[in-house]
Amino acid sequence: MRYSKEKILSESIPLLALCAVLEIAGGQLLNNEKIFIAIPFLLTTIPVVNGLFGNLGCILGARLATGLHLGQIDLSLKNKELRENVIQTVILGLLIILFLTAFIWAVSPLTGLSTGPLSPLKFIIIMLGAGLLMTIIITVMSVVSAFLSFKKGIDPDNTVVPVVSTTGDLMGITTLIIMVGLVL
Amino acid sequence: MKLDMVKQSLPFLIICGIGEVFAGTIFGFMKDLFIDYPGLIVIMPAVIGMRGNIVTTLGSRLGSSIHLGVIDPENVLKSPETKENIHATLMLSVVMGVITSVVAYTSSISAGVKTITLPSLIMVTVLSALISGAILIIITIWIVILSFSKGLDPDNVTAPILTTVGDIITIFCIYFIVVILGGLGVIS
Repeated sequence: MRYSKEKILSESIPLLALCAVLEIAGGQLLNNEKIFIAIPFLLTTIPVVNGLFGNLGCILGARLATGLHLGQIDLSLKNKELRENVIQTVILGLLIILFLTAFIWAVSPLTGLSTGPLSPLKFIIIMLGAGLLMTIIITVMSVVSAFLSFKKGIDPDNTVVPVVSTTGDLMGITTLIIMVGLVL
Repeated sequence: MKLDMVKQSLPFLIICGIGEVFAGTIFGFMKDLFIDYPGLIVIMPAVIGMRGNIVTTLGSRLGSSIHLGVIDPENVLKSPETKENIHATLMLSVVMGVITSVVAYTSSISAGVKTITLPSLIMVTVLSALISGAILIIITIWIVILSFSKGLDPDNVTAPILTTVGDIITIFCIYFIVVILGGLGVIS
């Protein structure tokens, strides 16, 4: 047998427990901000922002890892391949947040979730602000974690995804709270 | 300027995004439960994130096993390696449900945040982990078999599909479990 329950459990639990602590921190932030329960429509945005930027970070991370392995990307920020990847990540982040903002607002009459005092303009500002902040955060996290692990001889394929998806969840909730606080 | 990443990822990210809007809508419908059961919202990001981590690593291990020839793609279900992986995934779901509940409960109590009891949190996390875990294990194996038979590398398809489908199923499961357990008066 290649696999044993004991080995899978003992290798997974420490890392997952660390993820649990970070995710619970996000949960406490969310619980502390009563406006999300007062305007349940805002709750919709949380899985969307967390999921979208988690995916985007994973794609960028996987591409950086491949680029580093193939030698197309070196550990310099002036590298052309790296710049093109970063620019494309920013384009993708902005395009998709624009599309999803419109989509969430458009389907809101169907779901019947109360939008409370939100106007379309306020919602767009919240989502674009959070999207912009998250694009920057996710890009920096992916590049830094890929570079650091590559420098230390650790395969970035194994590190970037868990780092970016967990911190992405925590930062997604944080940026949404910041934008909602600024706008409402 | 190359735009290969934008062109290839955009359709896929939009489909996942629409899936997440669906997950988010169920999350919004849970509002009254978050008011009735304080502290429930605290565990939500952790339970959703954990489910994604546990199932995507299962998908990743099954993908590697098929590549390595450890599991026969024609007989995935009969392989003892698959059974060992399923057992490990279910056990991990239970263990992480308990750990998540303990972290949530102790952090709430020490910060003076109102919360339902620790046994209530454990019941919700463990039951939802087992039910959503069972559904997602079946979906994972099915995706691995299907992608392999279609000549696709399971490593490229399982993770993105599972994170989105996993979010929807997990939020659904928590919603129903809290409604049922709440109706029976077992959580407080």
